[in-house]
Amino acid sequence: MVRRRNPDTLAERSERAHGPGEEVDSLLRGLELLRLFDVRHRSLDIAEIAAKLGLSRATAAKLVATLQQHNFLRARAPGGGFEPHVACLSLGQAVKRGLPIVRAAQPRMLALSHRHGVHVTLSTRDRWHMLVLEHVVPAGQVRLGLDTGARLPLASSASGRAYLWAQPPATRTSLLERIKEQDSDGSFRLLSGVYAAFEELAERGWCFLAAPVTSQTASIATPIDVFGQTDYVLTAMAVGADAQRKLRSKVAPELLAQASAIAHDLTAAA
Amino acid sequence: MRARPAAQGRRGFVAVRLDANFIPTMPASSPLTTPAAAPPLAEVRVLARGLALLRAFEPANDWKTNAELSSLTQLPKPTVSRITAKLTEAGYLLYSAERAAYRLGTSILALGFVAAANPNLVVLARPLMQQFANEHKVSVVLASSDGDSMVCAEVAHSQAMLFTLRVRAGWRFRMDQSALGRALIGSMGDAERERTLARLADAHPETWSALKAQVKSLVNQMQRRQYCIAAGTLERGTNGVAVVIDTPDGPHSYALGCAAPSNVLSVGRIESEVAPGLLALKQQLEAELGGARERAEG
Repeated sequence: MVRRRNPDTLAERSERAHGPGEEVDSLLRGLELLRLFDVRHRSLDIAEIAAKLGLSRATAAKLVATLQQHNFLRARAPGGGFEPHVACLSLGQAVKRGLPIVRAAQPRMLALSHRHGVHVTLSTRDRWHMLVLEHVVPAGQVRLGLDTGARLPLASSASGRAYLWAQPPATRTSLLERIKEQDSDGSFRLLSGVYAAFEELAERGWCFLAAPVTSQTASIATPIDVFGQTDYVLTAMAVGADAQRKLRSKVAPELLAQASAIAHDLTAAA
Repeated sequence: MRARPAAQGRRGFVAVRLDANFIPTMPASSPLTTPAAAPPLAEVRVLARGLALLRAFEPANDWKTNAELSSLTQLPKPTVSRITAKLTEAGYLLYSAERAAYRLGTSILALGFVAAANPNLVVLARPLMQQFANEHKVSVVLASSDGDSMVCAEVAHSQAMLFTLRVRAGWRFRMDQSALGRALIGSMGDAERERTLARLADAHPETWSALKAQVKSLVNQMQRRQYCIAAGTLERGTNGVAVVIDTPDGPHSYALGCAAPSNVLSVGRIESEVAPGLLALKQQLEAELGGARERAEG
């Protein structure tokens, strides 16, 4: 039995403690610093890092120097800021290697993608986002920013809605309450869509979302139930004018079947 | 009580540093230490310790007890216990009560992995594209294929031009009419090109016969010169030229091209001046991408 302590407690405490003069844990600050880098922010300079974390430039520079010494960051050309380096890569690769669900899901995701020409994503929750663990792109199509380590908003992604629906009532209520509090990212306005997705999930086992990435995309998502826990979600995304029809009529039954097969494989392996 | 190494400093701290050329494949039994190295003044000690502890789970993320982690990192066991508790509370480690051991949690993948895993052509190309646009007084576009379209990943306009093309990052071009798309079609293998042409025939039946007649010429252009010129095919009065960029992920992953009104960018000027410059830019970007991936893979 794996126990996951509430991952948000310390993050919240750390966020609260970012004010001047307060005791803040430098380890968590350093890790928060690494979280700033994603597909939209591949390179940041000291001033940007300091501003985003609410730190002084001197503190940000010290954290960056430590991360640089341990190969988690490297400097770009002079004046070009810093970017994640090989230690971020090798640590992430270790996580992927150690995840049985990634090994179980990969061949099934590939098969689904090849058969229907859709993007297929395996994700799990990280704070208030769905974190991509594995992503398969159909031949000839661009990645659309989806790759291992990418994060999608919990309330406004098909995967996030499927995850929320599958949680025990107390957990779901707690997460929804937090989403309501987060007015700044527009999540509150999305709640009607979230509840509609819950109804669809209860009726069909999957939920549909139009235009999660660009205007010509659509997604369907279903939770993967392993040992009575639903930490993971399988999502298919289609691109093009007929994406909705394709997903609802052709891809959905197979998405459900593959999610069920992944859960079965994991259970059997255990 | 475990013997402490001679390099240990005050409060039992041992400098845990990874060499600049560290390749993360060392056996789990190897201590992650270089005892002679002293921490530089700027190093934040608790962060350095936490990072070393996280890296002790490489390469396979097996379950590890506090005692094993202490041995691997040569940090005192109470220090390891405090750090593992903290990292577990923050979601970066998972704890198994049955094993009394830890392993990395999926949240680790939020720590810069996506940016580190993808050497970013766009970031590499941006300043070079702007320099090229200014030097040659053109608009430069980096794009990749998406179905039967080319999607602009980055655009740089010459700062000397009064009127620039109406193109921004995210815009789509028809693959069959732009120099970018034509360069890509001309670079594809036969099977991939046939599939692409079949898609284009379905999507644009009205222009299919014109494209079909030019396919052989596109392939010849790319084989002979490694660039493709499109004179007025995308927009009347505008000329363009494009090359393809091979990345570590695969051949012709991107197309890089430039365009300008034909009175500024004649076919003669493209052939004598702009295309050679574009080919040099292609080579520079491919070399830098290859180097970035090699560094990332250790």
